[in-house]
Amino acid sequence: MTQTLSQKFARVVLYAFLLIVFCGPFWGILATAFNSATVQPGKLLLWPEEFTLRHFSYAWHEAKAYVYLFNSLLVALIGTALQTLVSAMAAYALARKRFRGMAVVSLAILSTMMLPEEVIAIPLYLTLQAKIPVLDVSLYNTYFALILPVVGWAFSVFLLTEFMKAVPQDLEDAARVDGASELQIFRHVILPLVKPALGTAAIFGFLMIWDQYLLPLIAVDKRELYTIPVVLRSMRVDEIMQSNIFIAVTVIATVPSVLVYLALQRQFNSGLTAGAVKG
Amino acid sequence: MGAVEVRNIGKSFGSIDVIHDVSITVEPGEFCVLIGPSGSGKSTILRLIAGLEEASTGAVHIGGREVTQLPPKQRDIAMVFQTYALYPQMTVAENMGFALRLAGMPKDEIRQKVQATAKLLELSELLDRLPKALSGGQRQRVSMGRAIVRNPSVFLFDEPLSNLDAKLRAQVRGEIADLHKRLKTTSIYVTHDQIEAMALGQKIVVLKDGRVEQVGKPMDLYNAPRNVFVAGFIGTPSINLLQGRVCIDGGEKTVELSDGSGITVDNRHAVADCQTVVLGLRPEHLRICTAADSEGLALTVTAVENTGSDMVVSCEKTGLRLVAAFKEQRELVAGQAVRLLPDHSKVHLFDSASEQRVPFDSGA
Repeated sequence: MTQTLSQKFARVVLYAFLLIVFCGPFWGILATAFNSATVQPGKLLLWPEEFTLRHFSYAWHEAKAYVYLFNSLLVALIGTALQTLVSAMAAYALARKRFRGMAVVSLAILSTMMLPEEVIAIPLYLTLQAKIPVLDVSLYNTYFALILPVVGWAFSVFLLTEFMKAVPQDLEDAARVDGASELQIFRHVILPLVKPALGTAAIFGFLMIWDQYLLPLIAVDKRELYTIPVVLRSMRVDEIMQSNIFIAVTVIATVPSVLVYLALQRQFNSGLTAGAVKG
Repeated sequence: MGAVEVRNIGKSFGSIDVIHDVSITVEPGEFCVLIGPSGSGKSTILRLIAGLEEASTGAVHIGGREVTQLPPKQRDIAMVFQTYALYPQMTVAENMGFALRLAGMPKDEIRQKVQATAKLLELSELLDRLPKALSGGQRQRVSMGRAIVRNPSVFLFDEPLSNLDAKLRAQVRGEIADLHKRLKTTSIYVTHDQIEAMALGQKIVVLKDGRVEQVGKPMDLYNAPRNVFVAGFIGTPSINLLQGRVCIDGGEKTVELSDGSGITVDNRHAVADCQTVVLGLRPEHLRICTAADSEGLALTVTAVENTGSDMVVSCEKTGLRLVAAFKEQRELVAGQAVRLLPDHSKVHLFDSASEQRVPFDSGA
């Protein structure tokens, strides 16, 4: 279909508008982070007046952003891996098996999405504080306290369940006749076929864990275990800290999310559109 | 090669019984076809034999060993699916070698077996391709290769040709028959296509509503269908089934049709005078005469289908519809008056109430 000149112009204007809306704030943050002088609150900088890496250097060496970045990365990567694995296994059971109480299990998983984080904050805090029988230790102030609560995520389970439902039954039957065990069917047949969905679930999961603020706040109180969002908050309220340094840490904090998205972009996109058209 | 015995098997899904007390015996090396319309339970029986469904009652024996409670992998079977069921992320070679890999066979041995089977099925050039890069016929051959490479006791085919076009179906059908001749592996083949059943089966099991209607050799089913259902299911074009009443006059038995015309039947049929029957006339057992002849049923041609090798003519008269099939080409047009003369020795009679075949007199 050919476009008229006015249609082309309208399209360009629309794209430019969307670009400004979505990328404008990020551009402003970048410009501020690389700007030598402190930018007054409320002022938007579009280009650094004097380019510098000083704020990044300070954020990295003095504010020890690398410690928090490491914590966030460790929690987000291990958390995402475990969350995707657990979600995939739960989804496999929900999508491919028939068992008594299946509806109740689905509802129980769904119900976890209905409660706001704040509602479960205190019970979760108490649970993390509680001593584990036999071992006589609590999870509080450990990486486990940051990872284990995010391993089960209903959104990821339901996303993967829908994809796994679409895998033809004949493939599972063929694998069973070929001699595959339940685990082998899951590993060799189902998982490779829902790879796009796994990518999508992993991206959403990573971002969800990366952005966690309340959980790290209640799960740890040792500063060396803080994750980036908690540190950003503490920097924000620190009146001595220059806003450029705070913004430099913000930039550092966004890099892993962007990298993860770029790495899984293809699977993410096909995961979002898979099943939209008849194959 | 292993015999397959299905003994009094039943299957229920919740409160719905779908298979009722079915017993089937397939001899070692035999090619058995399960045929029936949709919902007749043929695929369910195959899945019960494969172990993909659990039997509610009865038992399955393969190679003399009861396997009813065993999972598919312990039954020494291989299955070819209607949808091919090839693993899309694996190459042809990986698909064919998957079962062997799971069985822990060394890689070199797997490669050898896959290559040998690929050669047998003319798939050697395609081993590195993914299923999406194959045609329908090639995919079906890979699916068969995956079954053959394991050298199982029994092959199970679940409507393997349904997704192929007519020409390819005939070709692959021939390949399956040829493979069975060479491998002589016991095979159970599910189809709803009676041409496939007649062409491939050494034994055919006709199913309806989860029950066995008749078991026999293809020509036995064709020549002596046990009931109206089997008669209607076996044969293309379908048999003509006409309601009538028996008239016995001086030892000659005639069936009087609704239009008042009569058809003489074999005297040996055990029928009583005035008994209502269903008369079965196969289209290919009707001979066409000109309207001027005095013999046969006088009808009017309503449609002519000429396939080149065959001619199928539909004829009608008040309350009477017949289809006739001929090998010879004739100049026939719709509206033309004709006479159809049945081959009296090949007329089938069924009791109208029970729909069962009327046997010959025991003394005949």
